Amino acid sequence: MESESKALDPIGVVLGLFGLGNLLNGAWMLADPPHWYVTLPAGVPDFGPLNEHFVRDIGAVFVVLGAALVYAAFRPRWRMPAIAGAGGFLVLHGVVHIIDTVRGLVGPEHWLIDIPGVYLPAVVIVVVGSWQRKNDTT
Amino acid sequence: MATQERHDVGRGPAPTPLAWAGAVALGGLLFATPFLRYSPLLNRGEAHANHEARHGGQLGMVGDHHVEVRRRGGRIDVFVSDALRAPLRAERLAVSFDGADPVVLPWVGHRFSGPDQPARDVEVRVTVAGGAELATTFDFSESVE
Repeated sequence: MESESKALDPIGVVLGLFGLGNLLNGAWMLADPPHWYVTLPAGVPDFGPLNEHFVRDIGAVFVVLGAALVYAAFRPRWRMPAIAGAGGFLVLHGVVHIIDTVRGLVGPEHWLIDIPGVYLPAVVIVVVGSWQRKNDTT
Repeated sequence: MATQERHDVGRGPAPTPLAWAGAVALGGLLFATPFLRYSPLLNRGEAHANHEARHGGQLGMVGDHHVEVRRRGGRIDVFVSDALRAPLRAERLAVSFDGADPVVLPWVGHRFSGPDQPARDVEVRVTVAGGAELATTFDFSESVE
């Protein structure tokens, strides 16, 4: 039976809060897609008409991603797998936003609008992953 | 055993207060970013730069406001937004089917919504902030035929 510390360290705090935010965002998408679509202050309608089914699909991803990060915050052994999964999604998500902005699907104002909710999380999860990897190998 | 210990929290020097503060600040920022209303601080482009329907309906104008009317599944939904397409809630909204008496639609979550009626023309009357009533008519003759 393996034993593992469940105490939080700074990396756990970052992952836990980040995961909680993703959990709430995903729950919002699942519970009320139209409200999320028009209320999220990230210009979602700029990308196209509302499709409630697809919003719920994405909500499911965010809930799982958030739950994995929260769990990993308290379970250090699960951090790298959780960071790898979440990081893969967030980086690809960022790439999709870059492509859609470059090709003109949305206006150039989205370079700034997407920084807090898209590009920053993708960068931070990669940085946190490198910190965790460094911790694991020292 | 060595592998297990490597993952345990608390091994090695304790984190500094600065590390804790940084972690809380960074985590809090990441937690809050989806919900912060940061977009009004940014340039959302020019007014009336986008006149595409976003909810699968027809888009029209009442004054400086955008109005989208969607008729689907026996219901009529009306979405109102400002010149920059930011959603807003008008003070009052009524629709008139083929010139009949206006029907006031209740606010349901994020839109005005009520039972639809067979009609080619739908007039939308929006009461905006300040009490002014603006009206525009949508032609649904193609979808009715």
